[in-house]
Amino acid sequence: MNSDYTDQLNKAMESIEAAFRRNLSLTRVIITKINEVVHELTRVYRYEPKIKIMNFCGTHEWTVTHYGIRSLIPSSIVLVAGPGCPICVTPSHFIEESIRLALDDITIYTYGDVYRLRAIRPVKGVYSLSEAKAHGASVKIITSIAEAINDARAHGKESVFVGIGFETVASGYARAILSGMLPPNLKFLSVVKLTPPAMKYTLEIHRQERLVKGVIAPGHVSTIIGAKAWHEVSKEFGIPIVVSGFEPIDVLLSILEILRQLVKGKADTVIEYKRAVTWDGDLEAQKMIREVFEVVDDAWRGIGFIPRSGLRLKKRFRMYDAFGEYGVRDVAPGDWVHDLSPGCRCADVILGRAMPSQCPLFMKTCTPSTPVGPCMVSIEGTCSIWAKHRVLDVEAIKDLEAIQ
Amino acid sequence: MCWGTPAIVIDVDEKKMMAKVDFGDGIYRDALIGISSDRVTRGDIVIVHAGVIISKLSLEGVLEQIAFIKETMGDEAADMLKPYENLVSIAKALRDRDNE
Repeated sequence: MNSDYTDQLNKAMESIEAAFRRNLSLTRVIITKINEVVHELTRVYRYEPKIKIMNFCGTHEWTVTHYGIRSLIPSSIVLVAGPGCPICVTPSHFIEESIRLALDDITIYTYGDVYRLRAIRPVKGVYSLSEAKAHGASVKIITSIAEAINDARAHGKESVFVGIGFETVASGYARAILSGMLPPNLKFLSVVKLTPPAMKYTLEIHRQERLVKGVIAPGHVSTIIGAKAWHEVSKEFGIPIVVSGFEPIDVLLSILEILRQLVKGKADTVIEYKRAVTWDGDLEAQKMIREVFEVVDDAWRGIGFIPRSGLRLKKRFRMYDAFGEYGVRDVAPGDWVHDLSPGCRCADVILGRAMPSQCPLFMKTCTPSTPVGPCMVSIEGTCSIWAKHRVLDVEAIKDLEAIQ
Repeated sequence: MCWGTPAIVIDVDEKKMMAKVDFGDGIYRDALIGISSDRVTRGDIVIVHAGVIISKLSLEGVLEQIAFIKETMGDEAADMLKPYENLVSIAKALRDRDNE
């Protein structure tokens, strides 16, 4: 392959990606269409005044907030967050167990968000991995498991990688395990979660009030599991699901597609993010995940147990498993207790039952520099996104628009 | 957890498990190949999430996306999509030239 070709191809592909971000004329047309369809839904079909659409993934919430999408669409469309933020839903119990290991002189590798995550119960007076580091523990922030592997191999000391994430990272973790990349001194703590069971759980909560009329489904999770994973959900709950990219035009197109399906009375799973997602996903990735992990009932922070929603290493890979090696206790349904601070409404926010501004702690005691709830920590946490963009109240924004 | 960043594949190791990728800053970083390893070759634009390659952006996918936009938006979008179609044709021409 010659470099001239690579350069030009790359420029062309990058331009395509940027074009989904900065195409003003297309944006205007999409918004006009959205207004038309909403008008049709409310006037002709007499839809309720509010149409809730759930943007399941934290990164979609970032796009919606960063590009001000709520202010571009009619106020009758309410975009609510979903539980698609792994940092927000990892039980406090596993943060406490990681702190315990760190204080026992085991090197902990973790993503930056997890480092700041606050546990509900202290371990020897320590509430987070960052505090553990301040007490002299070896806690290292990494951006990928590959970094942890290289570093652990270099120093040779006992280490644990805190494997947080959804299906998106599961195939990478599986590849690392299957290929024997992990050195003997590095163990893996699998707290990976699965998204389709969480979407079903969330929609079940909303089934009674029937306000959630559509879901913007996670694009990057779907690159692995395929759009087919959502087909059953859209049929079971009778709502359109659109697998969306993460640029603003992607999200607007997905909203339009959901509304158009509502007009036609359809409830299909459709891919908008066609440049990266296929119906079947990546079959080799799915095979690797099945080979390495077993599916278990798992706890979600502030929510409780969701059946068959977590992944643990299979017994044949126990030589890599931090659970067995260091006696990390898994959380059982009988043990689970509500693990959010008093007043924190993080669980309601990620289940689409509340906006961050409806939480009594939001931007009072809970801020990005002093997060109380997990949703204020992660780059994908709805409260953190709202706080960093100074979105304090959606209704106020709409009122402001009306005045202008 | 969908935060993904596009990157260019610089090199793939012999076992096709790891790749060196460039996020556009000129620094080569290791990324695990989380998808079918046959799909990843030097020069590809991939999406990397937490150090794992989770997808490859394909020209065919972009064309399908353009078709989706046309279908959703109708004729009004046709003119506005021209730049995308031009880009795709340039990229295709480059690929064909490389294969000659």
